[in-house]
Amino acid sequence: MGLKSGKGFVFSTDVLIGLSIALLLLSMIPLTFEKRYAETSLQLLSYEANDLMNVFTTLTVADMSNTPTIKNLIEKGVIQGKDLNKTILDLIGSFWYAGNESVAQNITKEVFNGLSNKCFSLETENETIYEKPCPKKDTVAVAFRSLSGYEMGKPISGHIARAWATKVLKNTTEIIPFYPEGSGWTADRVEITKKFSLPTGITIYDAVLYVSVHFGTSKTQAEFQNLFVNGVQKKNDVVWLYLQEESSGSEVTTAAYGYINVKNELVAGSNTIYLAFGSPNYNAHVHPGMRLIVTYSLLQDMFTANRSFTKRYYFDDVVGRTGAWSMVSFYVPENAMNVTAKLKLNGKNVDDTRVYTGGRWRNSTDVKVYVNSGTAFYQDGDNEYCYSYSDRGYYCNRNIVGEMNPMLELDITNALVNGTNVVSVYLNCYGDTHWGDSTAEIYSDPTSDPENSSYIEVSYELPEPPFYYGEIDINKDVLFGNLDCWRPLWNASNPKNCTFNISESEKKVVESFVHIAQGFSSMIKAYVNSRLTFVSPSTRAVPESIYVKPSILSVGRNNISLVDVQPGGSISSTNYILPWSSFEHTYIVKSMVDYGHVFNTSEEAVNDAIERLKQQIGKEGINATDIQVDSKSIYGIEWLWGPSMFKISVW
Amino acid sequence: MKGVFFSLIIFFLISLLIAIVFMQRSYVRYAYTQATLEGRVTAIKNFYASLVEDSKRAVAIVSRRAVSAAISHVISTGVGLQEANRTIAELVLNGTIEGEKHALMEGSTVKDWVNKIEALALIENFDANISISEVTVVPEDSFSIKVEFKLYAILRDKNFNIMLNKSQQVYTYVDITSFEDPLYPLYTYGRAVNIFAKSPHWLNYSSEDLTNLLDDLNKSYYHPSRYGASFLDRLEGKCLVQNKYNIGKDIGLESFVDKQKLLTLGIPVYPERSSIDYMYFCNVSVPAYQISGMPSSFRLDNQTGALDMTHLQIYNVSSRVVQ
Repeated sequence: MGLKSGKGFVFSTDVLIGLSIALLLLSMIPLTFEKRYAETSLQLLSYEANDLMNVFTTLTVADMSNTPTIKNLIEKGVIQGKDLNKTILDLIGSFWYAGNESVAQNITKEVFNGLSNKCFSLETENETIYEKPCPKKDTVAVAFRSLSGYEMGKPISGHIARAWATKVLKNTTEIIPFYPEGSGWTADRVEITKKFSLPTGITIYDAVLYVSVHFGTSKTQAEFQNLFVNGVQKKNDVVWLYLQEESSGSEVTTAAYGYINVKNELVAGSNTIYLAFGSPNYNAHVHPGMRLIVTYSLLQDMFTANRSFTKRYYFDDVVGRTGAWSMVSFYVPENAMNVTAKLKLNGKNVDDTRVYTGGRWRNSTDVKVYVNSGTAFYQDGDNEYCYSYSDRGYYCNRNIVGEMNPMLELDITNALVNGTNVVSVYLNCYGDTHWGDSTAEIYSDPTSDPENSSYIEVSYELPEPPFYYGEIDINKDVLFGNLDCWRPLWNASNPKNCTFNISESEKKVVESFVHIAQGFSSMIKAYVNSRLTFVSPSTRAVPESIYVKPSILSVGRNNISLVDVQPGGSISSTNYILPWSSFEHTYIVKSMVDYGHVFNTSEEAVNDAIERLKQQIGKEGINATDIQVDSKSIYGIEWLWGPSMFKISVW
Repeated sequence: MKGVFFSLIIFFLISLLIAIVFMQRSYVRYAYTQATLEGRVTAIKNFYASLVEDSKRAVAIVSRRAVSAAISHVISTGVGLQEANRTIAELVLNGTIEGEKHALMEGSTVKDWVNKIEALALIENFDANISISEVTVVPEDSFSIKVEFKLYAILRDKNFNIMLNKSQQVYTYVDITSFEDPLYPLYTYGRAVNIFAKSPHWLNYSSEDLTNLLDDLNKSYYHPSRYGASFLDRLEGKCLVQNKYNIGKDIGLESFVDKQKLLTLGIPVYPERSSIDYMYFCNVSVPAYQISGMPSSFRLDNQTGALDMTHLQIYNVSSRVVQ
């Protein structure tokens, strides 16, 4: 059959073209199926990868404890009880990131091989933990899992440490006051004996005795007779800083303020300072501001402070010819509760006097006690009659009927105030009108005979301890001359306005006082941060120190204003506040540091803690080498590194 | 005509083939898209599952730091916490104690973890909005606490319209062993240190051989207790398990106070008190007996310890009581 017409040719051509297209299209179909097949295969691998990842993040170490490596690690104690609940992936990660790569590889291999016969690998952060040795294929399925706590080159967990001082050798300042006290009329001297104890085992770095006295006559004829410090005569060593001579008629007297270094004479334990001076035309006495400031090193154990306190304020032993008097000041903290106080007075050789009036003899007052008031709290007689001078030109018309040794125990609780309290005791002292005939003594010997000594005992409770364990108290005393005072530094003035700074590290003030140093004085008003902190309850009632409520102090600038006033309220023209007045405050600082940052080794953590502690306490002037330190480190504080990605590939 | 007819047939067949091819391609594309979507759905689900698992791990890490910070706070202030469980929860969430940041929690709060996870999600092509809230801390048993929290996650695929919005309660356990017991420093002026460590001898005490009991004393190991303060109670400075932490099983702890060790620290010692720590520190007034073969300062009371047994029964020393 031949091709006799063009139609057959067209048909053949059509068929060829059609078949070609059909073949071409058909040839494409297997390609898509092949692709679909690959996709299906990938899905299956993907399921497998995800299943494996689930197994790795679900199975615990305990579940796989029979695999050789894990079993071996358990037997060696490398894997402990608490690790048994870790997931397998966590365990592998722990070893891998801790640098035990072969262990991580072995665990991975053993666990994987027991689960699947596929080719696989486990990777983290572009590093292969383990890859099964088999040829690579084009189709690879992967499953991811993030795991916090891991990061390349970083430890999984670390150490923290805290440190605390068990003992601190600190420099502390102790102020031992001489209360305003005296007597001694017309050249008869007053003798004051102060006995006190310093802690045993201390090293005394400095000891300055500030002497503030009113003696006679002129400053060039001063009857400053004796000053013995532990038996060593020091009267000629006093450096007089301020001498103010005043005269009234034939009376010439001098207010004197000076200092003397007694470091070499003081000892740890019992000490005695004996002072004797007179005033031919007037009354010899100690003025406000006489005090001993001792700086010594103290080895302090760390203890919690108490909430209950009982403190005794001993009188100095005062022997006055023609009478003796003393004015003890003490404080009751602002938030004290259940406060009680008693006065014990042991008077000796006191003239017992009487007066004839109204047709009968009446017992006159020879012993008077004032507590925060110008009105007597106690007096032994029923009158103070004394109209005209007789014996020795000043003695009134009383009769001395004998000598007595009054022993008083007075409950003065009801007369107390929170803050500064002033208790004045007068034996044969009758203002400026007359005085006793011979010696009278306020007896006190706190070191050898404390129970028979004269003292005030105050008890109170605080709502909470002033400082807790792990805290240490630091005491600072700064002379007004070193503060920022309104008047030129080191000048006497009235009033005296000073400012001082409380730093952030000093913000926990537990006690603060203003120690007043004056020449002549009348009544004192003290303001701290513009608040009236103290006012004398009567004339001449200027205490040695004024308690300042810590609550009115604040971090930053604070100010003190002292003004001496007359009873009528006017500012005294000749009574000055001396620049050797001081502001003392006790504040607390931490003597422990808590857990700090996490370190790779215990040693690093402990060293860091000790360094932090030394810096903390060292800021307060305590030598870092003098701190006895204990410390404790804790291991197992994990880092929140990552999260790191763990990848399982299956092919 | 036949040629035209066949041409038409061929044209028809070609059209059919083209249609089939297009249908096939379309189907393949659809299947591919579906597979991709499935893949992304699987990925988003896996990411969420990973998220849940890692949140447990992260919260466990953060909680251990929070516990350390809480202990540190108690020891440094000398005052027990008001509500230990709430303080730990605050530390976990914010890294603060009563609003003040604690150094140990720096970069280690759940917020830090959330930020990292959200950054990780971006790498995986997800927009993630994750939060952890309602953290509660309760005792689980004597040696662990349970930290429970609400994990809320919104995950959006950046290329596909796929979103997962889910919240669930998640919990993890925190082992308290190896931490410092705050009760010891609180009652010893901060001087005594004792680390929580389970006794390896628990319920394995012989009346004939006191080796295990001595070891427990010397190392101040801890035992479960019915009444002795649990870990959370101890953070509050309490000696006994408080009702608020009671979960109907023994969650308390007790250890033996080594009185000789306290003496060496310069701390007053009360020889007549029971050596069980919570009884010793809080002076729980119960008769305490000397035990023959134990140090002379060691005393044991006969109060219920755990598992309805008294201390003398647990430590198997009833026959050794020195009357």
